[in-house]
Amino acid sequence: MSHQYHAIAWNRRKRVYDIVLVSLVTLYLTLFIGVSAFLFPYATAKTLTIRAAGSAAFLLLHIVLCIGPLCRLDTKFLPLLYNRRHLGVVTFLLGAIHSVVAIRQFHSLGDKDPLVSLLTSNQHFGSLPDFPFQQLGFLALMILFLMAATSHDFWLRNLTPPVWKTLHMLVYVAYAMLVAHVTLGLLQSETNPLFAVGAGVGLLTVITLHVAAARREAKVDSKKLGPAADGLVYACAVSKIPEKCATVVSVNGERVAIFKYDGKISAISNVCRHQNGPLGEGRIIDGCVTCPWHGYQYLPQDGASPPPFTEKISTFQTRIVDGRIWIDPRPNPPGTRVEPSLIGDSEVMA
Amino acid sequence: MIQPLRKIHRRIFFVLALVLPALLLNGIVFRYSWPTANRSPNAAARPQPSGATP
Repeated sequence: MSHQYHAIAWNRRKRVYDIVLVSLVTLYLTLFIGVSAFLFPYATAKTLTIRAAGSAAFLLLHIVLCIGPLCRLDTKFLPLLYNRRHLGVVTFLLGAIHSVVAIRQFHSLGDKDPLVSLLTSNQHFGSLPDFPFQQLGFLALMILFLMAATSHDFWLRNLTPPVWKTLHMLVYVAYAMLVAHVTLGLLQSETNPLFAVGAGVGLLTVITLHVAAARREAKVDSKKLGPAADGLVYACAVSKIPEKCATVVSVNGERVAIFKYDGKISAISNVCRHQNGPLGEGRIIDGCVTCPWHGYQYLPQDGASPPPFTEKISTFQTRIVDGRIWIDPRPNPPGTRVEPSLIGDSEVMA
Repeated sequence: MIQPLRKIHRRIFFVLALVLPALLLNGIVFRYSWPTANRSPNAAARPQPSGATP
């Protein structure tokens, strides 16, 4: 971890991020309610709130889902990735407002408990136009709640990054449910083609970006390394790596980041211990490999965070022969020191 | 550690890329025509979507 990064505490970047986020959401809600009240004077305050909060949550979820692949495709989007969790929490809060007001409006006037009414009043599971879309929205909200509640480094650390990541992949289930919720709810009553086109464009954008990013990632994974010799495999030429940066290769199904710095070469796992960020897309700052996502840092020689931090990642043996980098595909235990391979003068010039 | 998650992610999006557009199109194609003058009496009992204006 970087000595400058505060995992739990607020810092300036988080404050600015949140101020911009809250301002934009407030502006959207105000504009939506203002314009809707003007266009539909017969609509009640509850109806306007349901629509404003619901549409804001759905829009924000699209933005959340687009940030990941955008960062894979172009690193200039990385600032959006910092504190993306805050966007997720706001999405949940907007969804919760939408849900609470909708339940009060449509399920609180009978003799049943509103939640029981929500879950049992519509049982037309076999009909597309009559499908109980509100239950889909409720289930999606439960998933978003689970994610919002665990969107904190406390849970990330206690659940471990792989479990936490797997848990947060439920966002795709929530997204599918919300697309169904909108299609079988709003789009059944609102026949204005703008709504259908908007939902279609949003869906197409999310899917296209994710497929494009996945194709790009698959290319890196499927790239075959060179022939093996003495248990080492050829990775790349020294000249291919920019100074204080890395190239990423796939070894035995896992990615390895090979860094060039100060006339030396070191290879470490590409996976940051914090949130599985791609270390190979980061740079060496102050002598440490710095994760591009949240600034966690590791020494390139031993894969350990500088004291007092304790994060460790795997290291790999390297060798340079004639300007070519060879790597041992077997990872060393996290934190194992490996002497960096020295780049000869001719190789530096290459 | 990352590779399995990446594979799961690819599979999820392969499924979503097929299922969600189909759902959206079917949802639009097979929706009721609101409002209709000659709707059957039973149709009035259908639950109103939350987005419907009261």
